[in-house]
Amino acid sequence: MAHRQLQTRTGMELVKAYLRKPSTGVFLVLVILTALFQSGNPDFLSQANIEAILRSMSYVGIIAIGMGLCLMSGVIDLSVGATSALASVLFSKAMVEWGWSLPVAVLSAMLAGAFVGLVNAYVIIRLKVPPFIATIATQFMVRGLALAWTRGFIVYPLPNGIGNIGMLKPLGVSVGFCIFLAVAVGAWFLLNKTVFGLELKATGSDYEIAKLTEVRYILVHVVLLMLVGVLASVSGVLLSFVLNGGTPNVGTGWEFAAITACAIGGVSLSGYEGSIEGIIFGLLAIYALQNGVVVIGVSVFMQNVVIGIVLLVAVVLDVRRRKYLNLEGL
Amino acid sequence: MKKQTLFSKITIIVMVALLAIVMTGCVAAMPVEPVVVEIEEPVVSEPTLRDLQNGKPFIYVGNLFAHPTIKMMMLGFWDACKDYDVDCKFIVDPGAAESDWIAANEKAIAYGTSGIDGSGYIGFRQSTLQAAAAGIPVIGNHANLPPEDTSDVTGLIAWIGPSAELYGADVAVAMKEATNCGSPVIVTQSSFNTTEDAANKGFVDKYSEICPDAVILPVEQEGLEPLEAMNKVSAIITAHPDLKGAFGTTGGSINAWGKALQQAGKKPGEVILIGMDATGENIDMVKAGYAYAIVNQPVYEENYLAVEILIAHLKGEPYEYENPLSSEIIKADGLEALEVLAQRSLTDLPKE
Repeated sequence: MAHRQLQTRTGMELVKAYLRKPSTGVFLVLVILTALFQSGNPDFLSQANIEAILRSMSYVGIIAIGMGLCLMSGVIDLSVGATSALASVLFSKAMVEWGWSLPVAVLSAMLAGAFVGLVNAYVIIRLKVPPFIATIATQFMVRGLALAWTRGFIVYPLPNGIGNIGMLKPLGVSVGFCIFLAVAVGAWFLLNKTVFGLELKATGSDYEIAKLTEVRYILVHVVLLMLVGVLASVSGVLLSFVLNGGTPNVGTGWEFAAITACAIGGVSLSGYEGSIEGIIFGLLAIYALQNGVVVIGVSVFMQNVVIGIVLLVAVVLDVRRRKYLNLEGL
Repeated sequence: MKKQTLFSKITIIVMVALLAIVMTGCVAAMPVEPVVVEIEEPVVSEPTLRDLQNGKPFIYVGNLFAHPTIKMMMLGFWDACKDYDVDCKFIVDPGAAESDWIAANEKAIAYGTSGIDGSGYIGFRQSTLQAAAAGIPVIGNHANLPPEDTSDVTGLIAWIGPSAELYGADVAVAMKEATNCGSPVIVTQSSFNTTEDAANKGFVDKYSEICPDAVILPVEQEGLEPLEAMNKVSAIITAHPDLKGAFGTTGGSINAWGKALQQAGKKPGEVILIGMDATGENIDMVKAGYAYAIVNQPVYEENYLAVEILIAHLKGEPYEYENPLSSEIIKADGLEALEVLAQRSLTDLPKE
């Protein structure tokens, strides 16, 4: 009997330990959604549709990984979508108009993203402007720059079939998804296996306390803001491959899609809590949801309503989970 | 002798004086021809159109600055401005929201203008009425308004636009020819607006009539961001792997559909795709075989005509309130002229 009680307690502890993971809530939502959509249309889990969902999520996904790290460290970047647009335009101009080689054009776009991140960091850290306002300002500036630079025109077409890169499927999935996976693995390693990861969480846990310790809180924010800028550039360049050109309206709303994926993936918007796997589940949930409502034939007029309700339910469940486990404030 | 001489001199002087007086009187009494002094009349030249504009340019007001179709519209406006030598300006917002268009319209009103080439969409009507109330003549482009939308209701002095319902019906006929009444088929729109709704209706009504057994799937919304549109179309392809035809009612549809079809492994022509507007990307997609045809809306002509109507209004000359224009469906063998226009929209607009 005593042995059975011990077993029960251990089982409950296991459940609690599982529930403590920030990604638990969204994983359950993803499982439920998948079951619902698959029952609505057996093609939902077809190879082609899974490929389509993975391809769809990869562009915003690359940004969401960087955004998640930023949020965990207590900072936010709303300029990422605009940075993608700038990178898309810069890369395409470098290829189409200036005749630069592919690696140099890609590198220049990534450097532009890093520079935008550096500007954000300077404004937030040195000028003490709240990240929300600072990065909204840079969002306007950067998208305006992309627009002014192109005068609103698409820079098209990329030379010598470079646009075909966007259609390649190494390992059976899109180039974008392969890069997304690489970024996710790298971010997981950074977060969980390095001192920098510990400092990131410490900075996000309590910025003021972090200042009193040896945590390199300034370095953490500078590196992360530059990193998310670079990742936004990578997404912009990848979409340029698919579109066979660069356009300044790329990335509109990507920042909110990335933040939403992080939020429902268990990343706390007030810092510290979160995981890479949670962000991946969050992305899968959002893009499966957007795809699924079409695949099962929800009316176009009701699709956004359904998406909104599901996202709300996911967040409420997560709030309940935290309350149940006394995790508020983390 | 001396006295005589003096007298004689005085007499002569008096007589000469009298003679002068008499002659002067006679001359004054004589009837004379009126003296005609030719005075050059001042040259009253016709005021130029720029004089009539009084320093206030015609303004093209719009949103979606980066949209290739908007560029074509702007080109038509600009070409007419150059051809008629009138002062013109663009106030075009990069955003896609109605509020962005309204903000642009308010900027134009504040700037001062002798006429606006704006939108005929119902969502912008209050802003148009505001301009009309300020005494600014406004043309509604790219909308084919119903008879009840008179000038009093809309605030417009004229509307110009293709009959979207008509070209929707034309697409249905082309779709029937290409697919042999294929089924299912679908219509996708960027958003729900007057023009795209009418195009959708025209297609659905006509296709139902000429292919009564065909399944027409419920309309779907693509959105305006390229990735969002591709994702939506990918989901549609999954949901309907047997899809035979698609009609995209917006300028970005062909690219979104074409890329999604390629990524889904569909072969050119497997799904008959017809979309809007002769942009470079769309033309290339037709050449590659992923798109069957382009509906060439007369967006260039619409805005050229808008300037002509504004000029007529300025000069007090008559013009029509209703200006419906026809569209063409262009297949691969008719792309040449469109390519020229698409290229010009990239190169011939002003730098600022």
